[in-house]
Amino acid sequence: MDLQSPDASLPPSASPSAAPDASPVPAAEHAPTPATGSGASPASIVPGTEWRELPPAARTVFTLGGLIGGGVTGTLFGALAWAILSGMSGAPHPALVAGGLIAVFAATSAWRGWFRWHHTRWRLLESGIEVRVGRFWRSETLVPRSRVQHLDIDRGPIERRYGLATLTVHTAGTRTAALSQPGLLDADAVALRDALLPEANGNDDAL
Amino acid sequence: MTTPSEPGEVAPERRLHPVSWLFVLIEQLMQFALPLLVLLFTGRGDRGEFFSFIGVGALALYSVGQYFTYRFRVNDDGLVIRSGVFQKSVRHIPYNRIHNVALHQSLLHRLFDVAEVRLESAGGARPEGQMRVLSIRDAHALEALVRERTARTTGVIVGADGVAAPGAEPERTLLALDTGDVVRVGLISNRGLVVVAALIAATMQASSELFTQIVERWTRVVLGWTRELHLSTAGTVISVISLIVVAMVLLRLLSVVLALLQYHGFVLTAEGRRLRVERGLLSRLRGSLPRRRIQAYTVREGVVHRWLDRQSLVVDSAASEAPDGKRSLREIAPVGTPDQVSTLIRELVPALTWPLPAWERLHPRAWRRQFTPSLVAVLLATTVLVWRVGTPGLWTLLLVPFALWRAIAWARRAGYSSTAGVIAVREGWLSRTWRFAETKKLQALALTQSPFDRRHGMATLWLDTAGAGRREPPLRLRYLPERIARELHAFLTTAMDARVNAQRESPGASTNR
Repeated sequence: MDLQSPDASLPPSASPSAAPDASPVPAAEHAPTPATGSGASPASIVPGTEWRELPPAARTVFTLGGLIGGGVTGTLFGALAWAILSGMSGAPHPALVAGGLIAVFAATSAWRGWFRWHHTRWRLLESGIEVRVGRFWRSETLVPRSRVQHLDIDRGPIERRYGLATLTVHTAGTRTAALSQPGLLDADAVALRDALLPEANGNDDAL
Repeated sequence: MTTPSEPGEVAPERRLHPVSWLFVLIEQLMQFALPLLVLLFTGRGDRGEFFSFIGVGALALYSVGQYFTYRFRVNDDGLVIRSGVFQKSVRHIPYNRIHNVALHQSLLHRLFDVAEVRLESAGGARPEGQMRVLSIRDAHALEALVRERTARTTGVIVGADGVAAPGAEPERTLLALDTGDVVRVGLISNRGLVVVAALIAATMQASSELFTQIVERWTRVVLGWTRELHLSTAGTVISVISLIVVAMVLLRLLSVVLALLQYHGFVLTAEGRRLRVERGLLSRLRGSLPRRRIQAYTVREGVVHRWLDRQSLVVDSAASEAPDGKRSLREIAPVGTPDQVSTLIRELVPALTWPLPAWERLHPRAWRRQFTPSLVAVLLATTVLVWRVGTPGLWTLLLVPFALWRAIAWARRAGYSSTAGVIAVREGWLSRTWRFAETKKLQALALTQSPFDRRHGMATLWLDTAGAGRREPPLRLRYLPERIARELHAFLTTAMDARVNAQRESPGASTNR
C-alpha cells in the first residue's frame, strides 16, 4: 500500500533538508522541518493550541473570488431581467436594472468572501487539524490525525499569484469526507500536509 | 471451479457459465425495454424508429460479445479478471479488498441454476467485480473461497483471533423472519410509493384523461351514494376522504406484496466474523458483511412499529450505497421484537448493554428550541387563514398548546449517552430513533452553534462515520449545553486517538457514565 513510502509523494518544493529524512516518520514526532526553502521565514508548524488566522493575501483572494462569482451570477440574473423588462412598457430601463443586479450580487459575494476570511481560524493540534469558520453560524471541525486518509493541495490561478494554496483533508466519513480549506499560505499548506500524512508504520485501519 | 488452486501454481483461467449470454442480453434489453415499449406503442412507424431498433440491437450484440471475452483467474492473493473486446482491461482484486460477495438470483436464474455474483469492496459506487452468471455451485464455491482467503490474509494483519480453518466456523442463525413478520415489514414501510408514483406519472403521460376519468368516476359513485342520503358539501368532503383512504389502503397492500417479494425467508446468519443475509421470494439475494466493517447503528421505532410491537435495526457499513440498493447490506433486522433487536445489538457490540440503563438529558431549555419553530409555523398559518377565511382561522391557535406539549415531551425523551466506548443519541417522541456508534469508528468531529444555540448557551456535536446512509438521521447530539459539548468533544478526541489495533483501553471510556 502507498503508506509504506510517503516520501514518494513529497512535492519538489520541499526543502532539500527534508528530503534526506527518508525514514517514514511523520513530522510531528520529531522537530518539524521547514516546509519550503523559499527564502522568507520558513513556516514550521508546531502543534499548538492557539488559533491561526488566514494570511492577508487570502483576504484579497476571497474577496476577488466573491466578486467574480457574484458578478457571473449577477450577469445571469441581469440578462434574465433584461429579457423580461425589455418587453414590458413603463418599466425602468433594463440596463439600469441589470447593472444594479450585477453590482448587488458582486458586492454581496465580495463581502461574504471577506467575512469568511475574517472569521476563519485553523490550528494544528497534537490530535489533528481543526478549522473554525463563521460568526453567526459557527462550526468547528476536527479531523484527528489517525483518521486522515489522504491529502490534496490545490493551487488555483489566483491563489498561485498570491502564494496561497487549498488544502483538502480526506477522511472516510460521509459529511466530512473532504475538509477543504482555501487561502492557506503555500508553505503552511505543505507543512500541514507533511504533518498530517498518515503514519507509515501503523496499519491504522480505522474503518 | 469447485477446487481452489493451490498456492504457488498458476491458476487456470475460467470462463463464465455458457448461458451467460442470455442474461447479458436480457439485462441490455431491459435497460432499453421501457423506451422500446413506449416507441412500439406510441410510435408512428416511420423510418427513424427502425434505425433506433437497429441501434439497440447492435448495442445488445456488442455486450453479448463482451461475455465471450470475460475470463477470470483465482490467484492466491486475489482475483484477476480480464475482459473487453476493443478496450481490454485487466483488473486485480485483492481478497482483503473484497468486503462482500453478493449473490443474486432472479426467477430466471433459478430456472437455470445460476447466480449473479458481485464482489463489493469499500467505497466506489459500482462493485469491483461483477460476474454474470456463474452456476450456483461455482458461485457458492467462490463465496467460500473468498471467505477463506480473506480470513487467511486479514488474519495475518489483525492477528487477534487467529485464523479459522474454512468450514470450521459454526454458523448461527441470529434472526429468521416468518411470513407474519414480513407482512409487518410491508405494513410499516411504505414500499410501493415509488412504484405508484411512477405508475401515475406513466398513465398521465400516456393519456392525461385517464387519471381524471378515474377520479371523476369515483367521485360520481360516492356522490351518488351520498346524494341518496341528502348530504351536500359534506358529500364532496366524504368522497375526497374516501378516495384518499382507499388509496392508502391499496398502497399498504402493495407495500405488503412488495415486502413479501423482497423479504420472504429473511435469514440473518453469523458465520465466524461475518454476517450473512439471505432474503427474497422470487429473486433470492444473498450478501455478507464482515462484522468489523459495521460503522454505526440505527434503531427505529415509528408509530406503526409501536402498534405492532416491533423495532427495526439498520447498520451503516464501510461499503458505499449503490444506486439500485439491491446490493447494500444495511437492514440486518427489518423488523424484530425489541427483545430480538436487543439481543442482536448485544451480539454485535458485546461491550454495550442494550437498552442503555441511563441517558443524559439535553439542555433544560431544549424544549424551547423545539417549540419555537412550531409556534412560528402555527402563527404564520393562522395569519394566512385569518386573512383568507376570517375569524374562523383563529381556531388554528388551538394547535399552540399541543405544540408546547409535544415539545416538552420530546425534550424529556431526548438524550445521549457515552459509555463503554459507544456514543449513542436518542431522539423523537412519536417516531423514535436511536443512533449509536463505537468511538473507534468515528471519523471526524464537528461542533456547531447557530445564533439560536448561542442565545441559550447550547451547541450541537456532529459525529461523522463512514458510509452513513442518507435515509438515516445523522449522528449528532443537538441542544447540548456548550460546556458539556466541549467536554464530550475533548473526551472523544482522546478516545478516537486510541489505536484501533492496540489492545489498550481508551481513557475515560468506562468512567464516563
